[in-house]
Amino acid sequence: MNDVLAPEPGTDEVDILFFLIGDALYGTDASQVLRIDRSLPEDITLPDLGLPHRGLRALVFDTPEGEGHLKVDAVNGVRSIPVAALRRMPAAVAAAPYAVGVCLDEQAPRPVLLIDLVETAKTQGRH
Amino acid sequence: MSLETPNEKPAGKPRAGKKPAASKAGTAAAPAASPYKPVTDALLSVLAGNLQTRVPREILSGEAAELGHLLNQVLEQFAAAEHRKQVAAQEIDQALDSLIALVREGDLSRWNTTTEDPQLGPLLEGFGKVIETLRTFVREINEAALRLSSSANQVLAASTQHETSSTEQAAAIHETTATMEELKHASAQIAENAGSVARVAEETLGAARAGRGAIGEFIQAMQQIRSDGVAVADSIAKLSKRVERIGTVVEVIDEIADRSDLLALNAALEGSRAGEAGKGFSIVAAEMRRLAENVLDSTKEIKNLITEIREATAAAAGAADASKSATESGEKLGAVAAQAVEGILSGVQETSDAARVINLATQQQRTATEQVVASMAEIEDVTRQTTQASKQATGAAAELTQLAGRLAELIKRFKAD
Amino acid sequence: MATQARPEQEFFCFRVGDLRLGVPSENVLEVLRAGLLTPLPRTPSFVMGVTGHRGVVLPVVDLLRFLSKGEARIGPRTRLFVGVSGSFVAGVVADTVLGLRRIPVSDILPPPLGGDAAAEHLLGVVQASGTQEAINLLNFTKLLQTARQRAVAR
Repeated sequence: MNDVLAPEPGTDEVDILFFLIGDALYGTDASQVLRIDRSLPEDITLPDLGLPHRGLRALVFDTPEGEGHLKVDAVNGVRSIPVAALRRMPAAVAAAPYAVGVCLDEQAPRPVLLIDLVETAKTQGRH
Repeated sequence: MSLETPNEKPAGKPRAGKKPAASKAGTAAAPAASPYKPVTDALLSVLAGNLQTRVPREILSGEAAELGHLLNQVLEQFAAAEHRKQVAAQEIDQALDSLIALVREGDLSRWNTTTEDPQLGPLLEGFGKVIETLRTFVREINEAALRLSSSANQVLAASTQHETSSTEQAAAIHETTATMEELKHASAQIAENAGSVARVAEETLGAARAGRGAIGEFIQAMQQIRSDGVAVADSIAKLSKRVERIGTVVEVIDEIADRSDLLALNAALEGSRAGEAGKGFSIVAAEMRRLAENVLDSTKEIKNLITEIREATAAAAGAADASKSATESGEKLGAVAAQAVEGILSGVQETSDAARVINLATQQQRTATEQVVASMAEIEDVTRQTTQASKQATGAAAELTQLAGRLAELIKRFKAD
Repeated sequence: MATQARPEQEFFCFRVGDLRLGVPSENVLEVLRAGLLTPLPRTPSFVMGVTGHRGVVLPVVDLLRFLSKGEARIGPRTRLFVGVSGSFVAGVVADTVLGLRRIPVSDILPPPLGGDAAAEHLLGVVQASGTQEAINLLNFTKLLQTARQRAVAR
């Protein structure tokens, strides 16, 4: 299990891949992403994250059941973020299980929601 | 006839008369029978008119015989003379007959009387010369009459022609006079119209000049407005910039006031946590908040004012733009109008000049026409007289032709050749 | 002490929507600008999202939604006060902060009986007097507990 908030010992930075769904910016552990592909109609879309404009891209990741494809609008790039800037999602808010935390990056005007891609596949499976 | 002729002829009478007178005296001296009785008888017989009587020679003797013989000789010569006299008288009669016939019949060509009588010759010759002269006269008169007739005809023709022409001319002149009258009226009207045109053109000229002045002022005003408008637009732009600057400053003030508000609030919270010790601090913080709120209220007002100013300046800028384009089009229109008025001015000037020239020309023409009309009246008068004269001339010529005809007719009676 | 003669309680007073509310000042740590929030997927509607403050992820609560009195709107002047109760910390949306008011305990009237759902989270009501408007005083600790329960219980 790749846990964004459990960095490997000896490192104080994590590579975060930032992507857009609609106008909303999200981040994910870059190591989860196998590749970026063209999206397919059957790719995962999560209405709670907002509806993609055209959703021409897909983040491809590995799951126990095989490859997962999350439809996104654009990939902004990967940046190394200090682990100190990452926070777990407060349990009190009881957010969706794939919303695992936020990145309090100084470059972003607001906290960026961190998504666990594998959890999205589970959620999708549930729907 | 032979008996009458000596009686009629006075010329022969005295000649015949004398002899018997002389013989009478002789007879009165022989009443007694005498040897000379045969002679006396013979003389008496002769005196009685028997010119063939002769003294018988056989009965006489002597002296008587001699006398008888002499007397016979005298009688013989007398008879011969008488005979000659008769012949001459015959010839004269003949000549006179010829002359009478000539005169009566007019035939001068037949004169051809000659004589051997040396005494009559010159007379006949004279007659012949007279006849010849007459012939020449007749010929010449005939010729002249013919010529006269022809000339008279020509004169008549010419005169008739002239009369016709004169009448036609009179008609033509009358017509021309009428036309000239019309022309006079027409030119008077034209002069009047041209005068009106000139006056109107003058008025138009004045109006157009006034228009030009007005357009000039208009264009100047437009330029003034435009430059004013540009100045206004500049001012608006500057005002806009300053207002924006004020807006920025107000934003800063706002931000500061907002931060002050937050700071004061948090300070008050801190003070509250400090318990009694922080109480005064809290009061100051609350006061600070109020100040910050006042500032925010003020800045809000300022912002509203700025918004109003923005709207007003935008409207003013729009109005300035509209005014600019309006004045520009106004200037263009003014320029066009100025050009048009210039055109009108020059056109009207030309019209005015032309109308004045026409007026002058027509006035001159009217004067000239009046003169022409007067002249035409004179000509008409003269023509009338001419026509009258022509008619008289034609009458005279007709009469002359008639006379020439008659003359020719009369002359025809005389035959010269 | 004079204060003991006439006990007072300090409240942090604010307005949100048509509500004028008060929270005991000891439950309020700080006041912030609302700023930009990050919406969260599948949270209760009264959780507007999260915001980061001083290295802490603060859930932002809309009391209008929580009390079923409408919806809060976040503008440039919208405030967020950091409310605390025990170990729970949350940002609460306030349109305007009225300030800290020390209210005599005797002036606090009990909440009206048989009131709406909001009434169960009220400590009491302060009637309007003079320039002061009437204010509903919230039991913030109870409110946060209810909020947690509602979020997790879904």
